[in-house]
Amino acid sequence: MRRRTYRWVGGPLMMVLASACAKGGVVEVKDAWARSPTEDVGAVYFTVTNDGEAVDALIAVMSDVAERVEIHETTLEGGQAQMHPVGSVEIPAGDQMAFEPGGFHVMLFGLVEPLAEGDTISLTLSFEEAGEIAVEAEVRPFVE
Amino acid sequence: MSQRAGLLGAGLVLSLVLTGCFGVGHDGRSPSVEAHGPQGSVEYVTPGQGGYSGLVLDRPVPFADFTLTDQHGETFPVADRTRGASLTLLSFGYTHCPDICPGTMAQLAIVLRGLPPEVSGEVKVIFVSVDPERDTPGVLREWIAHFDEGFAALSGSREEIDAVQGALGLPLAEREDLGGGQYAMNHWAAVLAFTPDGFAHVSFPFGMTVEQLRHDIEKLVREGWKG
Repeated sequence: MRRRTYRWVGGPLMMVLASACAKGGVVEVKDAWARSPTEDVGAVYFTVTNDGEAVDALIAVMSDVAERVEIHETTLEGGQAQMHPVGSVEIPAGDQMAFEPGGFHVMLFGLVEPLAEGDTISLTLSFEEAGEIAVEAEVRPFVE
Repeated sequence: MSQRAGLLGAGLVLSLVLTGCFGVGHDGRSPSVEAHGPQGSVEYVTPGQGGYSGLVLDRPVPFADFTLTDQHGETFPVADRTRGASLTLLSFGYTHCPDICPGTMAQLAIVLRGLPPEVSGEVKVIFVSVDPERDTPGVLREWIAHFDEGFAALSGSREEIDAVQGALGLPLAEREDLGGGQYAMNHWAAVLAFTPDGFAHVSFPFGMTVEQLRHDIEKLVREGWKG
């Protein structure tokens, strides 16, 4: 009986702890999705919310699905699209930053296996202040 | 849209107006199109010239005929294959491109599916790869099938691709080394919309909505270009 009670309390407690960890406190990552134009590259998009009073920054992204995982930015200058790696992306306090097509994104180079539409991939986002946040991203088709 | 994004958008409009970037191209030849800020989080700003959501080019781009190889490995003479079409949409990119290129092609596919057949049947979509090293016809066949198998996906030698861009007055795509054998291709990112008068008067920069594209494509097909 005692053991059962323990489990009953333990389950929700674990869930609360887990969700607290996933949120990383004041920084939250939501609406993560990915797409893969070819068999060996992919891109991941999401929105980072910073409810805190201090600026934070995404400084690294890790994942087992690709040999190289990097933060990139697409820019449009004079009609030319360019893509280049960035060291970190600041998430202003009390604000949110959308990683989306045509802007910041996470590049996956050298996919271990091709990503299929409907797959879910796991990534770990590393923030300067909030630490590591685990993220699941669904692989979406290009034309839905 | 958040207030911040709104402010950002307003700032972009202002900076576009101040820099007058709808005017002269950087090398004096390229049709200057800079309708989008450095970040995708900024919504596309509608110039609204001539009733178009896309950019009406100060200097229309004259159509230049060229022949490349399509995704089936067949010779593709562009003028022949687009003869009789009311609208030819020409786009440049590469299959390893994460978002601009597939985003553009996906939008065009969605727009054409949503238009009545008498309109969509008048539109030819041609994608030209600027990455001859990786984009073979086989790779392009698989890639273009994500969007619409009826689109043409063309490849050729570096010299041929450069000649096409040069003939259209576009800045040449450039390879940017990302280390470890990976590279990106910096390339022209706006769709050129050619009408039967032999010019692209309107171009569609990345960031337009599907609704805006649908409007402009239907208008160009039904009315042609009325300058």
